[in-house]
Amino acid sequence: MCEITSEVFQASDLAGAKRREFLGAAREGGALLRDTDGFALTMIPLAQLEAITEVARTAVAALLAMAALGRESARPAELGPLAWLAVFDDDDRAEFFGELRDALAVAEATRDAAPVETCLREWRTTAAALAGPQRRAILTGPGDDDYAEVPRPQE
Amino acid sequence: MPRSPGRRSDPVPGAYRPHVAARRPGGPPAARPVFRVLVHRQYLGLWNELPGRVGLANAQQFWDHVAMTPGRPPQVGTSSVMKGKHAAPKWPGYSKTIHYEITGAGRIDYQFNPAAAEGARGDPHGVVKILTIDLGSH
Repeated sequence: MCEITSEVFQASDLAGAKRREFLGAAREGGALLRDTDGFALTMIPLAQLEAITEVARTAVAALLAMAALGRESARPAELGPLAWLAVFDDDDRAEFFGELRDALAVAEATRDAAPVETCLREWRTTAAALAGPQRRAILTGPGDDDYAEVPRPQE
Repeated sequence: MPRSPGRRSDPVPGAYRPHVAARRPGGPPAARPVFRVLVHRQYLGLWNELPGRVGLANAQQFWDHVAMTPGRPPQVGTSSVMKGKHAAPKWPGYSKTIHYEITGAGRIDYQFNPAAAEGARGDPHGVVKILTIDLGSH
């Protein structure tokens, strides 16, 4: 639940001397305003709203994907936005969900979605690399000695 | 004779010389590590196409990065450590697989070892092994 501990402002404050105070509280993390009928409204920085939205959306996507993977032979489409998880085996998926859980916790506490975005980007990038058969064969195979030294590219 | 404000005479021996370079404490800096860059033979063809596909400057920036500082974030382009068990080192002493997004739509995956002792050279030396190259669109 979102907690805003600053002063409660009234609708009339927006047109009065308290307008700057209201905006200052909003910039600091959140300002609570009661309309004339008591309806509660809040103003928070856009970046925080985006972070909260991203955390919620990703958490829901992860829960749905975990539920789908718990069933027999889940199709990639059933994984929704995390369909790229289909290229990984159970061990890697478990590692992903563990990292994502940590990233969500940090993002929720700091109201900064960067840890979630980094986690998703790195795993999605890995999934894309494994999607091609030739690259997958080398990336998932044992190391061999079939390498040649190359100089700095020249015209 | 009055001194010209824009001209300096040689300092008197023993006088204060504020712009004379001092020696680095502890002697000269250690030699910058230089990595040999190896490419998997399956990707030698694509490697040779790299300058034409992503631009010579971008190809050289990538080579300079892996030849000098393969374990650091690049100054140009982006890189990240790959995930999952298959990103583990393929040879003793090597790093996990690093994914480099080369400017101009190229992706290169590599592992590196700052002190490899393999090959004809018996002394430890830095080696970067380019595992795969992808020049297609994602």
